[in-house]
Amino acid sequence: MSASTSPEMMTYQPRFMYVDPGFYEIVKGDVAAWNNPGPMIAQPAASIVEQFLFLENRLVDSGRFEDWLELFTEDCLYWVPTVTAGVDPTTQLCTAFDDRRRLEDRIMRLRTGAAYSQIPASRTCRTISNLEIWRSETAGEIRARCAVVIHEWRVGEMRVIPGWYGYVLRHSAGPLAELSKPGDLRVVRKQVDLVQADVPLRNMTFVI
Amino acid sequence: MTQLSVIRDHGSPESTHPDEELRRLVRGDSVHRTLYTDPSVFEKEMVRVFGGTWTYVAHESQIPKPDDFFTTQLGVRPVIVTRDSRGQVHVLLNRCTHRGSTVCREPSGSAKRFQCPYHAWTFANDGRLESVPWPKGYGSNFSYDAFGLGSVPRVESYRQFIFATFNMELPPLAEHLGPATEYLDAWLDRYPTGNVIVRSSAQKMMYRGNWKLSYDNAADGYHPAFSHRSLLKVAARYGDDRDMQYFAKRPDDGPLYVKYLGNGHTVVDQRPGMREGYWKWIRPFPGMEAFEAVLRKKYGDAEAERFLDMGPGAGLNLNIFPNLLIIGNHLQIIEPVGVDTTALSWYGTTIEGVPEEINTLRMRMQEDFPAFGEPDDLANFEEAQRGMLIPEMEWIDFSRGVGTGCEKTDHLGVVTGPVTHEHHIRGYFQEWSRLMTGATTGWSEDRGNADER
Repeated sequence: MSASTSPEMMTYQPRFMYVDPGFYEIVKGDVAAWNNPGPMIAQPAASIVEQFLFLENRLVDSGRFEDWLELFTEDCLYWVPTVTAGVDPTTQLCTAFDDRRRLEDRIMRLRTGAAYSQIPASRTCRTISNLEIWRSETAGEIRARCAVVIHEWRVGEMRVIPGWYGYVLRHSAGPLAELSKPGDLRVVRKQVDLVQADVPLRNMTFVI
Repeated sequence: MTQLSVIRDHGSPESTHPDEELRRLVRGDSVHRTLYTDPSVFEKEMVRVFGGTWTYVAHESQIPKPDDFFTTQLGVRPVIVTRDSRGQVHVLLNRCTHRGSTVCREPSGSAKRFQCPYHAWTFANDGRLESVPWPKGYGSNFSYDAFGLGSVPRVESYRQFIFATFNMELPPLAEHLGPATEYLDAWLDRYPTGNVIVRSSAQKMMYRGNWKLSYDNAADGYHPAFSHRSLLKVAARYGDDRDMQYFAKRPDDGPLYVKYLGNGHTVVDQRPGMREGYWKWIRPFPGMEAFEAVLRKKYGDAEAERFLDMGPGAGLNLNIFPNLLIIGNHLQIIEPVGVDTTALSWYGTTIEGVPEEINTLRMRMQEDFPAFGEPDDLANFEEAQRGMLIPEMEWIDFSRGVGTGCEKTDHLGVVTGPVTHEHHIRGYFQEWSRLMTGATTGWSEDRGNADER
């Protein structure tokens, strides 16, 4: 990833310079990686990763979006494609392809008191299962993939939204074997592949 | 070719509203709630409006090569838009002439023929029936010609936008679009090849509300300051001079305007409110700074800035009645499902003759409004649909501007007024009434409201 910061660039916010052509190459690599898991990582690290994912999902279900955002790195991606095969964000629109700044915008919008699509707010309950965890090809990062079912209640209707999550997680505290608590992990990229990615969806403005 | 009876359905006996009554549902300054809630009105619209007037079906870039096809709906009719081996475009009714099953179930692709999965009747991609299994069973008088796929009799393109209609009395497409072509031309002429390409998957949304809630809203310059307050509050994070913020600053005192373009078409022109240089005033989005740096390095400042200005939307909301909404860089297509259920497909557009980086930027820019703006509208549409179910409250108001004397009508009949006014929405309801009943209500903006009350 490049990080050139000319004086002119400084009029923007340079920490968001990471979504460059190289970043898209990394993201395209994810698409292939989700279908080719490596050897599963062992306990106790696997259990700590699982606890981290439970925490991440609980914070969203509780509407604690600011706390949830704290779990993400400064160079993060929150991604919801609109196709189920042949994913390529350089040529396709996505339901979300949020860098850190747009993800902050998304949360900020929900807090404006004027986001009518979430007044009243969706009540959600997500169940994750079929968890697979393996080392990423990038040092200090691991991949986790799991199935998810989101139940969402809003304005008199219950919806069931199935799919799977792909997480790239970064562990900051040295080697994987030394991972000791969920707080040692951060989300670098979260990809949400919905079963109904390519069909008309109702209001998706809660965090998916 | 199969004889079609659809267009003869005008005034079918099962409908609740006779034509005379339908005409009374549209007044000069308001329309009756049953336009949005009555299934019998919806059924008539699906014949008399969708397919009853020139109706958008697809963009030619979705079927670029001979034998390409794209499936969609014309109203609620499943159709296959095909380009045959000779390059001719057809809009075929996706219904086997045998038992009525759809013959094509793929969203798009390439095929010389379509074989019905039920009994294997096989049709060429121009609609001709090619074969049926064991034909002896139909006797010697069986006519293949009589069993071709139904096809929409009139199909025309304007600058690669394909429209179709069953209505043989309408003028040619370009004439029907009339003054709307000036805006469509302006939208396309920004680009090196004068065309857009539709190659991306669409962002698809569904709401529990009538399709006209979208068409009303697409022309509504009154709502952004309020319905889009959440988007505008987020935009304020980046200053007070970004795209769309002019809607919240006494917009009627500014240079923005709306027009009724005739035949149901409307436009909201935001361009006079935008500062020079599209790129400079766009709200920040993913990759903006990094890609700008890459382009400046590769092409130099002047060339890079020329390319970058082709990224953002053109500041036009051009609404081609009844279902094609050009908004920013999107083609937003209204897809009616039922009287109270509507799908919206937002097709992203890419352009040719620019570096690929520009098209990647366009994808990210086009994700902004559907995520931060449209959902609040859809929530308001759904709540409007709920409110309209109250039988004692009959009328939906579109009177803004009536009696102000602000609207100006030109020699073509194009009516221009301040951006929050609703003369153009009243105009499209006159077109709706004409299509649904064969006559308008006699309302005229020039005469004002006096003789209607």
